[in-house]
Amino acid sequence: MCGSRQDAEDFAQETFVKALQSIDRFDGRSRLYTWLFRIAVNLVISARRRRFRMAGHALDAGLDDPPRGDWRGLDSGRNPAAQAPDELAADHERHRIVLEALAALDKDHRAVVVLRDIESLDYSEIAEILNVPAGTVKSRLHRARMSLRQRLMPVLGAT
Amino acid sequence: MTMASDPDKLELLTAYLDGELSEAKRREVEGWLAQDRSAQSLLADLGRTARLVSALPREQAPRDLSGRITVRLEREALLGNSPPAPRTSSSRSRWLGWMALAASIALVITAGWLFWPQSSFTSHSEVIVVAENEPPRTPMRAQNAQAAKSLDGRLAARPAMPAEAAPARDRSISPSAIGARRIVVEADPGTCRRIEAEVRAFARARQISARDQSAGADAKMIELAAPDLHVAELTSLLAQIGVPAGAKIVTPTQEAGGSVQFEDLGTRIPTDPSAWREEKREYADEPRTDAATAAAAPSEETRAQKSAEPPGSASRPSDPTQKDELGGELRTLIVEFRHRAELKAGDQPAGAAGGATSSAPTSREAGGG
Repeated sequence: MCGSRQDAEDFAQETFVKALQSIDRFDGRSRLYTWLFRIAVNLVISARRRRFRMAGHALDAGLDDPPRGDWRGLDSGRNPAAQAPDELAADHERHRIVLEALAALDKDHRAVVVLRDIESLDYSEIAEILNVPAGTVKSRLHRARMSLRQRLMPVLGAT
Repeated sequence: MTMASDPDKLELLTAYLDGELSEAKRREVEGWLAQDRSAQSLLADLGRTARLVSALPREQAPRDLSGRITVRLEREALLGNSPPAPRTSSSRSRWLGWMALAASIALVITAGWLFWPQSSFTSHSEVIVVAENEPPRTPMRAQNAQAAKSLDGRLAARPAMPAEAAPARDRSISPSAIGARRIVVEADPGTCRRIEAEVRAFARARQISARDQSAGADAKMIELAAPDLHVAELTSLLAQIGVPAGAKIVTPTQEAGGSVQFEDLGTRIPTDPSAWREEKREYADEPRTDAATAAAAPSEETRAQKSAEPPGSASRPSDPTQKDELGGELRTLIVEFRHRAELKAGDQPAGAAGGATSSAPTSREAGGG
């Protein structure tokens, strides 16, 4: 969503600063994580608008640029030392393909996939964060997965 | 009804996969799936797609994130750019809890997705140092000045504690402490004050918030709002400070039912550093419990599909580089403990070496040998 690790770090820091400064406004009706994610999403949207106004670019420019090969250092979730080189290479290639497929989604679809499949939030939480009805979450998620499925066909066959 | 003739129905497959359907709808979809092989195939594809995304690698949060947030908040409060952080007792503890969460949640949004850090020790938030029955021993400090350089006095003797009081305790970790690091020292008041001063100096240098939660003069508990601070860093710090030779270092393990047991880390450090990694995994590689996932109550098929995944994709083990660093620090600590144990044995008459304290030194000797 941000386009780079540095942006991600800045947004993370800003999210928690905002949250801590307005903690008295957290009424406990939603989960803490949901509230945090909502702050984060609002920050990203605001930054996107600012960038749009300043640069005159399309609304989706910049923050939604496809990832720019900044994936070094990512933890594969498995112990590299325990993997054979060909397994490591296959994992790396699979991750690259999945990341490219994710990056190709439009921002609304990418957001629901990230919140559901990476953050494991339920539909009502995602709806609250994105300020859309739960039914919209369901339809966006379905369309997003269908689009991903299409792009990931070569990888799906190998899983 | 075929899939192609009712696109809206396809959305039910996604909701079914995510466990988001009512009981009646779930039965309806299962009846449909039983009769439609193409729907079965699509469901399997959607499940694999979701798993591919969920298996993407996670990025680790910067270790100084919570410190940076603290500095930023303090600076803005001082400059009057924002309201100061809450200062009342209850809200302060909540505030510190948030600081802990800051590093637990860490980087919120990265290129393409929100990612989750892998904090190896988020569920192990306390380091307890119990100094018990430590006799004054000037020679130890003279010979081991490097390790004890910052401890400005000998450890005074104190009455022996009951043996069962030190090694294992059953406490609950308060919500505000989740992710925080606690150092608990039970020793004479002078030792408590000295160790507290050292820990606070360390915290200041690292720009970490520290607060005193002590119950008495001889039981010092300092909470560091630094969930990304590795236990090994603290143990290394305590070794530098000059932890009493009779000290135990224990780390809590979460037991079924929510109670917390504290195990003696010193007794668990294996001799062979290469074996340490496996031993350490018992403490470091607990998979993150995802309440949201549990609440979502995935279908049987989803669970079956997830169980077929390679273990590494679910448990998010810690960064090997960090493990190497931890291993180095722990090896230093082992050497330190061993050295102290040897000095201790040399100070005392034959046959009395292990008698002044409980079993901890013996176990450390075994670990350090």
